[in-house]
Amino acid sequence: MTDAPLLRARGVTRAFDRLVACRNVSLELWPGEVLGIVGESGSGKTTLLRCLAGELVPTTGTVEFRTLENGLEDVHRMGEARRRFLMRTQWGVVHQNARDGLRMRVSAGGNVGERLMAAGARHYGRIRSEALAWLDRVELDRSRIDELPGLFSGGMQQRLQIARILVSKPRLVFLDEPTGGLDVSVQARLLDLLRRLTRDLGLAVIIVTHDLGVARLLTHRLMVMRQGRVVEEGLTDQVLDDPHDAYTQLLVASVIGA
Amino acid sequence: MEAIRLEQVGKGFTLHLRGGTALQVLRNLSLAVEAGECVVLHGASGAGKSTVLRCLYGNYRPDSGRVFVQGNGALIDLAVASPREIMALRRSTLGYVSQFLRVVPRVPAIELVMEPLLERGMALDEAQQRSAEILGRLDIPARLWDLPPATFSGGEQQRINIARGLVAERPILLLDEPTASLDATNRAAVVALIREAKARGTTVVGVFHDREVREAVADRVLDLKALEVVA
Amino acid sequence: MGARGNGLPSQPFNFAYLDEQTKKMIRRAILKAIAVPGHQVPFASREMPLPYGWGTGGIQVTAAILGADDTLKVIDQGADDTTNAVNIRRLFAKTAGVRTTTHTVEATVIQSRHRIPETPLREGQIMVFQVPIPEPLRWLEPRESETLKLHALADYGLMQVHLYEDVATHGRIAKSYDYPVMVHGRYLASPSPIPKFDNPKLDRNPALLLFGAGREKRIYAIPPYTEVKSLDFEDHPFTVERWDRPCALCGAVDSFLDEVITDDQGGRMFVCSDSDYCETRRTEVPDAADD
Repeated sequence: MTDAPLLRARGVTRAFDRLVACRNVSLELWPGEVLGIVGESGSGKTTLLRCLAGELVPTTGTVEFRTLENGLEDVHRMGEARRRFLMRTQWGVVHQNARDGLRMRVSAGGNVGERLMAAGARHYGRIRSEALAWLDRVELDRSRIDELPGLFSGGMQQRLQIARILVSKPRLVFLDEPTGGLDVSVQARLLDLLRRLTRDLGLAVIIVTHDLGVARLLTHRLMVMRQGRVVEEGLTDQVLDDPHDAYTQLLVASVIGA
Repeated sequence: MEAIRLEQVGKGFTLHLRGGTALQVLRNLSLAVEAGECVVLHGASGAGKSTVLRCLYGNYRPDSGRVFVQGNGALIDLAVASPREIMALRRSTLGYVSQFLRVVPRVPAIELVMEPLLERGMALDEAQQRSAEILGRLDIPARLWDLPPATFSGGEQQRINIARGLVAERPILLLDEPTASLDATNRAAVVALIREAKARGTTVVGVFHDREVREAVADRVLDLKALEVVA
Repeated sequence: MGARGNGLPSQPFNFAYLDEQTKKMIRRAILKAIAVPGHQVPFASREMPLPYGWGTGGIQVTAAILGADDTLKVIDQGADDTTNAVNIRRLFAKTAGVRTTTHTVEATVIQSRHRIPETPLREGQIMVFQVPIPEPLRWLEPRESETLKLHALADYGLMQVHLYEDVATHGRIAKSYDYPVMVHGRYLASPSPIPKFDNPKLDRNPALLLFGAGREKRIYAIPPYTEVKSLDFEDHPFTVERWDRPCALCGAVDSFLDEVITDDQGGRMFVCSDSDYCETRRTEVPDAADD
């Protein structure tokens, strides 16, 4: 077990004019951990995810990521070039809407190969075979490698996003409502894939969801957010089986299968 | 050497959805378990036996007192340990068999059993072999191994649960009514497994309603009420 | 007929048509472009006597650098005698009074639409390219705000993805003109719609290469002896076009050939696109194309 966390957030606050979307959130994440951030719409969880992933600058507070080269680096104070480089190599975001996470006019293979090419890969054959291998891993039909993502179903587009990110072997993956809008059986398949991948690849994962069932299934630790604040946090099974906060209790009681 | 020590543990629940009703389950509970011992918790329904096990697993957080567990070369207080420390302790030291199997969609029974081994870094084929062995001992036919347990009977699900809890041979085992839905043959199989664990030096804390099983494995039977010091 | 009686209107043009302030502005842009090879420099493109799409960018660059001692050659798809080339040459003859020529070796400034002459250029010569779309990533990323960032960060994975798509769809890189290049190992640039056949000529060319886009208002440059590499894959390397026959007029086997349809029965012949090159070969070697 390494001592330094992979990601450390301290006092992250993000306001939009007078609306404080998330307030004073601190957390640490180690390799191999899956952290769930749950809350209802408007809880601030997506804003928090965007601050953690480097997409949005916090109003106050810091987000640090332990890079392979330099140890802990401040994500928002580093130069844009460095941040963009890290965002497409050492971590990645699977967006709720596949259109935000894929190039819709580029084939599945091109989407998966992009990070490799951005990193300087110049051998077509090798890029393609790696893309094929990743399509296999996320259970997408190899023969569809040259198809455009628009022809894929929602669940398949999510899996394509996952492949696209994992190809660069990131150490941290953010998932924003990964099962939103998917049929139940499709959700189950995606969750199953995520469980296996996080275990096999030793990934650290932050998953934002409003679905406690998903949290129960996938996460080791849980943070419950309400109106921008963290109201409860701890081991997932502990937060769901022994909720202390009134809001957490309400959430747990309202959900089937939590 | 003590493997487990509870010191004046208090655990209650505040039900905010019921107007803040407070339920005090454990009061000032103290107990110690030696390494290699098998201690059975006894008491009426609602006395808090499951609660004690859950506190030992880090699933419930006590309101007061200390829950010491010997693991990873140190004595860790689960009442104040970080989630990370508890996760590490569960991986290395604590095996837990709850009353109910939490069913994960699409995951075949054998994979559920393999998971604790894979998490520890065991090779795939070895994990598969060990899981097959224990499933065999618990009389789960091979044709069921590749099926997700959602459609299994209560007894079958419970046996999968037991297999998952015991396959990694952790130094401490917490068993909450493991034989509740089992017939005599399977109960005997579970008893045999517990005995083998004991022979390996495993510390066992369990709740068994079945007297036969209790008498077959227990070194000590503790009455919860007697352990609580009412202030 | 104007007061001077020489065919010029009564108000004479400034030398090379543009006013001195504009020329100064353009020269500054050119200097900046030379200092950062391949980087697109915005400039205040003027209204020209031709519409957009007819070489206004190239004309403005030429106008800014032309001096009284220069000799100007203008070609369009390699030919000196097409409408566009003729008109531009006349414009400068009229407004600058410079010597004009069709011979590459004699020119000091060569303005070209979509070709580089076959005759190797030498130190001291300047080539001015007419560029329709200066941004090589435009069709992949429509947002200017984003392409600016991509260039600033040398984040060119997208172009490589585009080439990947070509190979996946066609089995090879299908781009045959306006083939993207890396200039001086730093900036991705469009060489203008020259055929990829001409791309190798860009690499370490002794001449100064200037690129002007009038509608898009950008100027960029490749200084002499700059490294210019065409993008490709290791296993799909950059290749140029080849013909299975020589020029029907001069017999050249090393020039870019145009296909000319000669009759309604599908008769065709292949001739050098570079008219000066072909003609020169024919005058020097009269027996070259006897078949």
